Amino acid sequence: MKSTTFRIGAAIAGIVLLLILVGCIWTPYDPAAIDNSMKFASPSLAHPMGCDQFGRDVLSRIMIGGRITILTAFGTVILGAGLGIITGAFSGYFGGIIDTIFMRTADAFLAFPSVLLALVIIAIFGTGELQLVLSLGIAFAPSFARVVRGEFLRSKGLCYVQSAKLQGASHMRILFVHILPNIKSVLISALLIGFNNAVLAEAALSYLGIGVQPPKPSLGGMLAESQQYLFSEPLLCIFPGTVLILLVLGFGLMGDGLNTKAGEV
Amino acid sequence: MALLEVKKLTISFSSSKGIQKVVDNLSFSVEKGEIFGLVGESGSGKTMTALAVAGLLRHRNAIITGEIFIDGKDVLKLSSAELRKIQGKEIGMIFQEPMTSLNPSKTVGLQIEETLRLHTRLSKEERKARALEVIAEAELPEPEKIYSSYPHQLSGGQRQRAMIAAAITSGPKILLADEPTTALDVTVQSEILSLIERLCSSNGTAVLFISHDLSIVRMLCRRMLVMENGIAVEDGNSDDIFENPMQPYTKELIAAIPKFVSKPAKDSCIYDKVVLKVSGLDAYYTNNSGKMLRKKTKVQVLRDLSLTVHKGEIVGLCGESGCGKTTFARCILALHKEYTGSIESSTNHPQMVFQDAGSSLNPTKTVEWILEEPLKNCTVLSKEQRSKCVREMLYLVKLPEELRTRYPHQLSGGQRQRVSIASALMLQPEFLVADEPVSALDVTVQKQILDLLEEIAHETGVSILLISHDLRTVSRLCNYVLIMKNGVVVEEGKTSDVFSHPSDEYTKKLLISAGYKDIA
Repeated sequence: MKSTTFRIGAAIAGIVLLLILVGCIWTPYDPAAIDNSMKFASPSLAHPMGCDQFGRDVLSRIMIGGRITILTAFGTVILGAGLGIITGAFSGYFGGIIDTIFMRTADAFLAFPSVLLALVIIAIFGTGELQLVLSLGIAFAPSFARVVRGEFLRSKGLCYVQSAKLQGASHMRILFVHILPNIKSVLISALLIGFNNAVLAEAALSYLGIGVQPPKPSLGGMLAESQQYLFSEPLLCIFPGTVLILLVLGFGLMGDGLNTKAGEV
Repeated sequence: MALLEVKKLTISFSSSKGIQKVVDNLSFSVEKGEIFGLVGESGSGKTMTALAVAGLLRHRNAIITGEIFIDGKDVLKLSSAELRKIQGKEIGMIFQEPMTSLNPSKTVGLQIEETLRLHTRLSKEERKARALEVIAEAELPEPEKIYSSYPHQLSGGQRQRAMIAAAITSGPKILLADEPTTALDVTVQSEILSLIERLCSSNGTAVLFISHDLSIVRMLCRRMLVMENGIAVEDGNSDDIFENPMQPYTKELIAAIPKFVSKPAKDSCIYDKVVLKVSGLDAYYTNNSGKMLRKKTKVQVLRDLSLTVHKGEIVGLCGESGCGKTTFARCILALHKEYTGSIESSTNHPQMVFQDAGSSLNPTKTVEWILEEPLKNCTVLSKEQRSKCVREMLYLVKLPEELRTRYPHQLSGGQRQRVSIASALMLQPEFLVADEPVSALDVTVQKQILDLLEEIAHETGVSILLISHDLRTVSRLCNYVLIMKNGVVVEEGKTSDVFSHPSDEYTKKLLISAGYKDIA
């Protein structure tokens, strides 16, 4: 039984994902093909979302750019959550000096805005999708670690953990086989929120020109490019912006829905 | 006319599974100055009835039909504003858990004054005077100090007294007491009960006393009503019901009341082999506030404890909350390591049965997984051998095999405790600690679980250290008993000897509070 909020969210995110999936095998035009005769073309049957300042088809670029945006967001969440779960689990469960070291480090990371932190890392390693994922993943890890640590701290006092200890389960087994499945609901909503933030952060970095590099399209990059024509050709930023909003909204609603459901049980 | 009159009360909740009746066609009345007992096991609808009387079910999508008259006014027909005028002023309520029913961030005094603030135009000084008066009436020491302290600074019994004080501040005609003593120690329990009794007779308050504990109800109430699944099973004079129960359910309930059993210690199944020997145990807790530079303070919780348990023996450890029973168990099980003294155990994996089986079973795993887990960790059995062991164990604890694939939340409380016992027995330990294994269960289920423990000890020869606050439970099961107070064993010996000839004052007090009569 899923809540209505979750279903609506899944439907919205599903539409965007479908568009992007189709983009993996077919796009109406080559997203990099420049057609000078079609500069700033208005939406038409041939170009449903019009063309940009180089005459490239906006729909095709969104389909490809959306994919890059989503993949980097997924990468970020997987890396960030992986790091966060491991450090959070160890901190919360073992406590003491491990906890102090991990959590003070996390505090130090959290003291910087995540985009600024990513900026620093990119400045060291250079631009590119992999660097983007790496930098955002590291920047996101502390917030996951926080959530996971709290849950492990709460769980480690519970009787079932004590009884697992008495029955000879190793620390690793208690951490990842006994406790981890029990914090599923909290974790899933944290992952969804993290995914949203990653989408926005990728867009923000690309907008700043240090994320995905042209001519590769990404939703944030498209917004950045369309900025100069904001008043003359507003549609250029409305289309990628809308897709971005729908994506974030969809996943956000899914997270909300799961949260309320977990709260009811 | 009766002060509280409930006529044909039916409460149902509508959910996705359809309409569910929790109280069905219930009628009773409580006179001025009377304590009326409402008895039933968990889920029987007692609390729902009290909430309906207090008008607290309004916004909880409950469908309530019938009539509830309080001093001639039908509570169900009142508007929300009219209801609020009655609540607190004419109806006072005492809940089970005083820690959660008092607001932790407000002083006790302010909370006691709250009803006066809402229902009267008394000045600040007058309110305080009245609050101090009821604090004294609730027999709390140093009213001024209590007035300005916060709930966490009081003990459990004091909190419940403060709760009672808050409930009687504006002199309610009706007091609803929902399991007011369940969370308290026996000695405190009897004090609170006599307080309620005295307040009732001196102020003429009508009390609706809700409890699962029949023996308390019999002591306190002249009339009572027994509920099962929302239906009134039997009502009438308490003594009549006890002496002559008409309905099978009432009979079952009465039979399940734990009683003092003065049985001769069964020596037949006890061997000479010592499975656990504790000597000179001192245990400490380090008060670590988490701050790196804060100086750590050590608190001693156990002092010079010694204990020997033989194979097949059931040893009882009794004492009130905070006396160090659980710390002792945790030391034995090596879950608590700050101790000095020696603990020699013949078994590598001493196991534990916890109080609340709901939290001692991993909620995301099936019964089979939970039972197989200790075998996976400590043995090299194959999958087939493991599942054979699981089936045998389920048979031993008398659970049907179909339950293997269920999750803990799909089981009843008694079934969960059986699974918990089974999982403790999987490694065939020689020694088991049972920490209040039945205190979270209904009386009828308690009896079954205790029978099971006794049977298992007999069949498998496992020794059990039974920790309990309930002397009756201990008297039923244990050959040997230790009485603890503030981390020290004040008395120990064969159960029958200790109970019939207690030498320590504290033991006597405990026995009397628990209703033990045959003290020499």
